[in-house]
Amino acid sequence: MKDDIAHIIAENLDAIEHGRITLEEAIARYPEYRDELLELLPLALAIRDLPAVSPRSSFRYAARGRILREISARQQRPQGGRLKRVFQFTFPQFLLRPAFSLAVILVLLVATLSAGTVYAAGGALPGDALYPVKTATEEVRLTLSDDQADAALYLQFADERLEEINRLAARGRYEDLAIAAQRLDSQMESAASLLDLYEAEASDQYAQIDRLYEELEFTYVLLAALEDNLPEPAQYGINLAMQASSKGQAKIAELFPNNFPPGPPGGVPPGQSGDTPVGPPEGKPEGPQGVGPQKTPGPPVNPGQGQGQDKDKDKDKPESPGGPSQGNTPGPPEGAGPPEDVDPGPPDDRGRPEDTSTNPSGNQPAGGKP
Amino acid sequence: MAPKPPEPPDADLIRRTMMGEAAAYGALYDRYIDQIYRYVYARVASRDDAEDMTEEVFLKTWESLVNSRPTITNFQAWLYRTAHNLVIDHYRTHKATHSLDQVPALNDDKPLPERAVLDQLDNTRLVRAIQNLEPNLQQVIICRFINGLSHAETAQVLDTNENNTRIMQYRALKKLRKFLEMDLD
Repeated sequence: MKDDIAHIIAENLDAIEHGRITLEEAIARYPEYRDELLELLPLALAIRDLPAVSPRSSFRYAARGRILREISARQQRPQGGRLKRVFQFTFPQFLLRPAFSLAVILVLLVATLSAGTVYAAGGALPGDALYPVKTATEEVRLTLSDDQADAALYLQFADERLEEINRLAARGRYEDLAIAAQRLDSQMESAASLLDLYEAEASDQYAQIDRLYEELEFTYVLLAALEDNLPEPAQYGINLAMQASSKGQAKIAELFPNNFPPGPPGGVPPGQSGDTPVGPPEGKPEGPQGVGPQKTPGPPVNPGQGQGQDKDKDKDKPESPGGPSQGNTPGPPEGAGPPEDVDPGPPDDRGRPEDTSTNPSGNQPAGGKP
Repeated sequence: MAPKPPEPPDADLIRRTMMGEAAAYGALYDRYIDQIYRYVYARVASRDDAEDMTEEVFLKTWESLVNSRPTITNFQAWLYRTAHNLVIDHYRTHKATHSLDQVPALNDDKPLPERAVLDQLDNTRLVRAIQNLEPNLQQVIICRFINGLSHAETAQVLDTNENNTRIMQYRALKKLRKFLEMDLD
């Protein structure tokens, strides 16, 4: 009896949801359960009609930036997991928040590293012993600034990653390109999210963005020229770096469609790369009010003008229940795993029996068990 | 305007995440942030807590992906279960109980449209009633009706079968009806 009515409710709700029958028709179909259907079906529909809640845009972007930053930081310091677990048992939760952790790193940096070391780390490349010092210093700077200032910092750091990619390529250290490429990708994503969020302030960064766009283009062209002449193992890093460069350009073009129209990766068609490696792409039109992507343009009167039609202005609008992934039930990631020559994560953290939060069994998700 | 390219499937993004590509995990975050946030918010009834916990869900899930390298057949269900575990931990740690008067409506931060004051009151009662259900019944209601998951997807989140999900849905609706009647009295 209970099973029957449970299935009848479920079946009728599905039918109403898919527009196959109305509420009245559903109730008329089962006169013996009329009272219960009259009570429960409208209630279910009322819950479905509750206004949808969406996370605040500021939270959405800030959390995304923090998570990706944390991921990049942890990938740079593979031994961190063990230390963090010790801290987890020792300190209250607030001490583990990224801002606090990074502030502690700052203090430790100041206390333990000489100014000379930090200065020397500024020129370090991925794979160098001092590179973690350089990236930790960047994390500290991000922690100590607000979200708006973070946008400029991310752009600056992305610029630094391009410099690293160029220097690595010049030295033939192709195996280290992947690290710089992944950080470039993540930092461009974070910069784009923040510029999108604080679009009014984005104009302040226009000159920086313009310079970065050109450097992304230059890097892409340079790597494309190198790619064909290198053995396959080296091409992995080159490909990642090329992808990160072209994605970075696309992000900028998306944010400033009038000034940086989307074009072929690198802005220059393949085969012409040797001719004009630096400089604005041929097809770049003048920007609004005559402010175009000249080599060193001044800030436009309104660089964001014209992007309004293209940008999603309705981020805060509630989405339909279920979000964009409705019905998305992917199969297992069969064969999912890195190539054998790629180390996907901190080896010390894998499958540690005491680490309940990271779920060594692989059968249950993270988080405490009820 | 050129059509938008198809989004990569979860399995592809998971594989790339496991290879160390942070941007791939960013895409998974973008795909699921709304529904996970809604799920957590509906259960903890605090925007600040919901934000902290949603962020933690995504960090913990990433840790699991790269450290334990599990075989995940349904990433969405995995995220929901991580969120559920964190909600349980949250209540265990804080031993917080929300009285009916403390629980805000789901749309507590939205400006009220002109005509909807009465609807708003009804919504508030309804949300409070949902938050007084037992956790597993709450999960069914949130997955099915607030996040719009199918019976099959809800069953995967709850780690049960579709038949049980239908029965739990019925029990949850019956209890809600009872709570609302008590609230009226």
